[in-house]
Amino acid sequence: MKRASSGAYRSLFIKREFRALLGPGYGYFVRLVALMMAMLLALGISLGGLEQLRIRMDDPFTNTLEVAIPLGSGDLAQEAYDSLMVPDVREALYIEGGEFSQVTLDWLLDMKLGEARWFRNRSLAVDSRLTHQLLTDPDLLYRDVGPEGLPERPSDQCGLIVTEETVRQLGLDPHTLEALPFRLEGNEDSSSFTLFLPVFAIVKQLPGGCDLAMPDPMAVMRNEPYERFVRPFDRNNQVSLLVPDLDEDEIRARIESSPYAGEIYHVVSSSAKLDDHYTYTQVTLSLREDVGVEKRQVWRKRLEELAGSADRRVLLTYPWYCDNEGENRNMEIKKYRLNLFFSQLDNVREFELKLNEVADGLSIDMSRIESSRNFSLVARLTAILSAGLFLFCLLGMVFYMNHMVQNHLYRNRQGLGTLAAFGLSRRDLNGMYSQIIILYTVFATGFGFLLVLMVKGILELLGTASYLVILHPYLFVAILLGWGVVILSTRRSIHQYLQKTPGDLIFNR
Amino acid sequence: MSEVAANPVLSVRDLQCAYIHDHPVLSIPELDIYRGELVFLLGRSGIGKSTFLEVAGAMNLPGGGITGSISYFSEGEAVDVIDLWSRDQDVISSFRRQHLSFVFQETNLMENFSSGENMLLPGLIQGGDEGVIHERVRAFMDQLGLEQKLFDQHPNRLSGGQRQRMAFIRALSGHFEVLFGDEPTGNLDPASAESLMELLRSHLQSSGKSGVLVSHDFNLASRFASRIAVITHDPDRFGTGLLDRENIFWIRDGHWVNRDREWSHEELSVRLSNLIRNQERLVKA
Repeated sequence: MKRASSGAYRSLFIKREFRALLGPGYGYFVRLVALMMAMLLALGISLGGLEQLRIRMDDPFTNTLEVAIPLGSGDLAQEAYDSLMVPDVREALYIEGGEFSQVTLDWLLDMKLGEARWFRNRSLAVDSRLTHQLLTDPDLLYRDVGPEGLPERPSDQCGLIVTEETVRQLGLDPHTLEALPFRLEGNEDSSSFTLFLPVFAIVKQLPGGCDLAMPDPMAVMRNEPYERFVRPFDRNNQVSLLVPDLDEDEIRARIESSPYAGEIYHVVSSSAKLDDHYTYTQVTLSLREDVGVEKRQVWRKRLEELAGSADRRVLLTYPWYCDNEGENRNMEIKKYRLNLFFSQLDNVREFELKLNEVADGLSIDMSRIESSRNFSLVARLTAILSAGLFLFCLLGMVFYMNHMVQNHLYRNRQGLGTLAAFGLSRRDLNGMYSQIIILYTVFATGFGFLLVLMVKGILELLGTASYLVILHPYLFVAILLGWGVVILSTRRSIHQYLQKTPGDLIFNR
Repeated sequence: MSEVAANPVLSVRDLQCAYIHDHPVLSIPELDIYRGELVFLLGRSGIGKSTFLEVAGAMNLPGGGITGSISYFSEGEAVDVIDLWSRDQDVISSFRRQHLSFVFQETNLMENFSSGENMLLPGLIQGGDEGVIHERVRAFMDQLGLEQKLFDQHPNRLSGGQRQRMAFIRALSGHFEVLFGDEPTGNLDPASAESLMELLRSHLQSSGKSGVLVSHDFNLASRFASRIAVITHDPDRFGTGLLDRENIFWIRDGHWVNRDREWSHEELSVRLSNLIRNQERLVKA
């Protein structure tokens, strides 16, 4: 026979009373689990909402305000910029930084139709926060490995950032796109042709409703005359060209029979496939080292001849690189717009007043100001609602647990009074019920958490899981806080009830 | 007053209990309970029987005040149960565990526990050996005609009589000095009540323990009691129950005795009946 100890009745009492508190068919427990689940869901959704707002706040479309600069107001804009970048002003208005940008209309080739269409192209500072945010956007479509046959990009190359919609409009596949057909219209000295400029990123959208963006050095060069922008050879004196409708042997034969073949160091050719419509042959030429800069310009025209320049579908491609040195060093983009980045939008109205004060001629879209203010308001309301939901659920649990426990004690008051009369101390009773309540709450939290995880799993299947955040430190703090409040308040109720003497319990006084 | 035994286990002196200040509901100048005794406390409803049970059983203290003493004597030491209330709650709980046991008319079984667990609990709370208590409970069940299979059943599946017997076994299964019963046979048929009383009396006599039962049943009392005490109205203070020596009857040489007069069983029944009825008439008047 098992030796009796004080633990024998304790374990028996805890087991039986715990089971009784689960309720008929575990009904009481299920209700608490449902309440706990509601609290965790409310918190999870609130945290998800706050997380989404935080992401939106980091989104350049939310935290950036764009000031249009009228023609000829570049100096005024620069003065306004300098005034806004004073540390005290930046701090007061929550301005993190700013940059000028230029917006131009540029032509891109529609690969399906063989026609050029214009798109809005803006410049981007290479190291700006906006560029960083665009390139780290979670929804970014981005590839490092291009389609078969295109050359790999050296790390110092610049590239375009283009919207997915633009890519689709050009009849290209965003998932395999490596380079974008940037159309350059010819002049008297040269025919029109297409440059395949490397694409660094494909994004959902770009600020200012633009279709593509290029880094400032590229934009600077794009402002230059045609010949300066089109510099087909890279720093290694190497160029690649894509030639349609000619096989490798025919191209090689043309190159080798050229009177300038002696200036070519090396030729590599292979079949390249850009899309489903055309098959190209990619030819990479490396010029000898002693072929100078001037001769390279001449070579541009020769390449056109080699590839059949009369045909507008003749395509040239070459590696692009950002050249901030030498002749490009002091060149600037045109100041068409001023972009300002904010860490908070609470003082955006004050920003507007300040802008009017420092640059009366500059205007800002009021709808953007209102949107920003609304965003700020929504963020605050979401935080308040989250706290409110948490408190509401917490109070619900506190009331439920207290009500349940008090009901249970009332129903069993005579039995408990009798056990107390037999010598079960108040301290023991309180201790055992405290253990029961702790176990009860922990189990309810565990089950509630599991159910919320299941909901999260379902949401993941539906693709909307980002609206529910579970593994968040605040959630665990809230759970601990919830435990503390529920356990302490319930313990207090139990203690108060069991303050009665055995006689009062038995005779219901 | 030592007709039954030499040493009292419970001694009451000059007890006055009041629920409202200066309005005592019960007055007991002198009462001793001896080892092995089964004392029946009779009286009309509201006369103060349950008050005595609560106070002497260390279950409660009347809010209007209490004077006098209720002393327990155990192993040469006297403990005044009224004084215990001024000490730590654990002290009074410990006292209850070591000295007291109870059986109530309403049985007060814990519905969430099996019948067997209910009967084992007091012994376990006292720290007794679970095996010994278990065997004792099983033996009592046999003596009271309860099937062993009822051990594992929940109380709410038992009849009123079965529950009452379970409550009796719970009271007897642990260690105690004095057992207090509040109408413990109120829900039982006469035959079951008699078998319970028989068991209780023999258990008390064989173990040297004492029992104090509050009851209305003077027939049962006259058959099984070692002593019968009748609480009547205090003629000097209306609304106060009084237990004085004149209304205490005990058995001597097989006869009931009171104030040196012997009473036959029939005479005693008539006397007790008259005493209680007179009280009721008095109240109505």
